[in-house]
Amino acid sequence: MHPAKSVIFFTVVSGLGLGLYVVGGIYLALGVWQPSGSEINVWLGSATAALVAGLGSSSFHLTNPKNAWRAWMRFRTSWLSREAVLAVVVVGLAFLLYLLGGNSAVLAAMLAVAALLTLYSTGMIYACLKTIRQWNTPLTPAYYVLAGCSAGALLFAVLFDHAWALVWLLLLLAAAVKAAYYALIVRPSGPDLRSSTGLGSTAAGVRLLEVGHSGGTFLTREFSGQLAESKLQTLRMAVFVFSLVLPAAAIAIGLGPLALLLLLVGHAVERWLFFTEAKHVVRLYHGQST
Amino acid sequence: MKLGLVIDLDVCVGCHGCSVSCKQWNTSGTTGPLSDLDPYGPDPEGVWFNRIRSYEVGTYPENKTVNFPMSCMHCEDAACVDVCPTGASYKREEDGIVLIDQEKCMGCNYCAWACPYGARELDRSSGTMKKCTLCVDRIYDDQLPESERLPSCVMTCPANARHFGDFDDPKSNVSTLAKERGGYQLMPELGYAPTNRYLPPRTRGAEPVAEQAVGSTALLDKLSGWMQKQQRER
Repeated sequence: MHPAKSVIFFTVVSGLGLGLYVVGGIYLALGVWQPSGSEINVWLGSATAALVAGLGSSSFHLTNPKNAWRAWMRFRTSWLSREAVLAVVVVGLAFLLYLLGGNSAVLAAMLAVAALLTLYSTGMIYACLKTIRQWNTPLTPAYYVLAGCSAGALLFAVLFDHAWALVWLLLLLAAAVKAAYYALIVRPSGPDLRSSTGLGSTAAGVRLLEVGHSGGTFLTREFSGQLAESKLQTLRMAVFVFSLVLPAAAIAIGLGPLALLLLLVGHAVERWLFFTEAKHVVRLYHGQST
Repeated sequence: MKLGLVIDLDVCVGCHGCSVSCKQWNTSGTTGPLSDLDPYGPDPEGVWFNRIRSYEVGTYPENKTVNFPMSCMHCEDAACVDVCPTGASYKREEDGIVLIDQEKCMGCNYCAWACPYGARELDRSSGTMKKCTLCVDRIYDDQLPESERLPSCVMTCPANARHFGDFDDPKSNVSTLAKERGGYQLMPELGYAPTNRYLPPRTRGAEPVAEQAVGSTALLDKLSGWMQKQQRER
């Protein structure tokens, strides 16, 4: 898949904002965190800023953005629509909580749940596609939730010097899920040249002679992307170094903000790989194996 | 009704006539124009609803070329429609045709990600997604003579490799053809229940091929024998 920069920025930054809502919301609802009025404002303000910046950037990959408001119309079937609706619900709940000065455990809990569901929806946008086997796994939404929450927890800890234990737990869990994901997608599965054409008795007995287009097409560009195996392994290593090892080291020596920066770099690399590694089945018709 | 196409891989000659005729009709049709970018330049690119591939099946001497047209399968369980967040993509209740409302599409490409058949192409000049309409603007047009109320590709095909009809009617031409010739779906394992059916190429007997091979070897032997004789005589 072609990795759209605006989508990478969107998922990483809005993930950070949503994670911050989740962690703050849960701590507030449980009464473990007793913030001052200004702390509430900093919490809700920074989470909302990140979410809105992310949502705004997501519209840059649209080729007909004047219809972007219609993305709220198909909540019943589309995960993209669900994400858009839930994101608005989150901002609405955050605004209500702001009006109440953070004095509602119920509202805080609802905010946390709505933010969690939004993160889950973002993951499901990709995971529901049977056409891209690397995405079509429950580990996809699991990682989107954990990545967002770990970044959110780290920002929460940096802002309010709270919940450091949770940061460690989430960083480790996210890395474990990513490792499981990389192990899972190695196994080939899904359609092959034989089932995509119905020709031949084995996939080896079918060979593409002419591809049906002389230049590039929208599809060849959208579903391009090939990485050399050595580069792939280096980048996967970089994902773990930036989203676990380096942030952990920075936290250990008391450099929280640096840890957050490194973590976000790690998430951006992970997201770039997530797209680049994804092999759409239509590539079979373009003479590439998935 | 469940309207769709039957494509006969046994007789398709790979002339691309259906593609060209599709482009010609639809560029002025309901979802037109099908824009071309840089059409006379070094890197031409354009929107097509129908693309023809060619495959080689089997290994020599039992190999053959199979021409393979592909357009929207008008799936019964169309993932492209489910994932569309705007409601621009829809499947018609009355005849099962999958269409895109150009007024509603925001160009997020999500439907193209969901389609395994490469049926959807983004038009960069309008910023909207476009796809085969099964010539919805021909097949119901009372102004056309009844014999011409067919998708443009079907009308054009000189080899009669394309057939259009209602798969819900067990006696229709497409249902009969699919039943008699073992019409199959592409990638049925994905579960989208594509409506279009492909008729497999008929298998030629192995014997004539083998005979021909023997024949040509014999001819070669004869030829080399004759050449050796010529050389000896010289």
